[in-house]
Amino acid sequence: MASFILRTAEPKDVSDILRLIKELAKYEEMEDKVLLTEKDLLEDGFGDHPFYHCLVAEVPKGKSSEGNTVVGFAMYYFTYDPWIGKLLYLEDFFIMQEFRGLGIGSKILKVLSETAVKTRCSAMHFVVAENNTKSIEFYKRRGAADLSSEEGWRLFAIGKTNLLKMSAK
Amino acid sequence: KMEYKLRKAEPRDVSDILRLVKELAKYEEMEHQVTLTEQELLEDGFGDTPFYHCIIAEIQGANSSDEPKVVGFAMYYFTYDPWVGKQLYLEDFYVMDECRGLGIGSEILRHLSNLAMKTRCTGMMFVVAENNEPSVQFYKRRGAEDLSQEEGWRLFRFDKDSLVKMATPPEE
Repeated sequence: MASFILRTAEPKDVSDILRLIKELAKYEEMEDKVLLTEKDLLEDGFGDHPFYHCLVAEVPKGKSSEGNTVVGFAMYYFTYDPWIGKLLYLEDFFIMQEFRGLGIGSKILKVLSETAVKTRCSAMHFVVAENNTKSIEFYKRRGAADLSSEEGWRLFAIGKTNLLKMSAK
Repeated sequence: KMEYKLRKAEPRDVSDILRLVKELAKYEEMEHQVTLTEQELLEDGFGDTPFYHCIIAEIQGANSSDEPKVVGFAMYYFTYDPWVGKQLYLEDFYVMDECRGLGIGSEILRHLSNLAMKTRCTGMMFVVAENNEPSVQFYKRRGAEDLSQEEGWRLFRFDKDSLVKMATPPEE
């Protein structure tokens, strides 16, 4: 008997999604950086043009010590590599501590891989903090390559202040 | 003085887009890695759900009867940062060698910045090869931060083989 199920997120899940985003940010010691609201998540994920997709993992009521039924999620979207075309980009991926080791993470990756293959993506990309050894090992065990190591790519960002500066020139 | 203009890419531009994608790949010494075709660019960029968007830079020929020439492009799409929401992701950005120094690159970036603001994005993100000094400086001059340096993020990939392996149930 399965102790958890995976399903596509629905509008009603936005508060759980935000909760898990904050828990993952806390794990990365960046909790105060989460500025997104449930309303943003609702408009951006469930409007005419979804900017992200989510899978959620649920357990039966009463299983979680904190009363939650949604105990894990993966947030992803599609990107485009000009050399090979469509990619699935895994943006956030988190299982609550007390539900790790049950195969939920592996199952999520399996469903994401199926989605990627079905939508004719050439690869799945994602970013990992270099000091997150546990996650790096989890991914490497499944065949992931560290492009930053192998190909020397560095991720850059231009924030709002500088975008405004540039757009005003 | 070379006159140029920026515009949104159209289906007819896919062969120029592919040409410039290959020129940029050549500049990065990765030319043989471009396996994308014009057909894919057409389906993926101009179908019901575009997976990418392009801005094109064109220069007018010497005579008014000449066809304008596509000399630069930026390919971008929208991503989602779970902390702050929508981002504009700049995937490819290239101006042909002979047309650099005219302000085309700056103008493209200005256009993209405007677009990011209009679509309520909180940032623009992109990846640069760590040995591409001229580009790193171009971006840093405009306020870009190297997140790989400051926050230690590393970009990872599962290629098709790994995906197929993960998607298929293990043999009993």
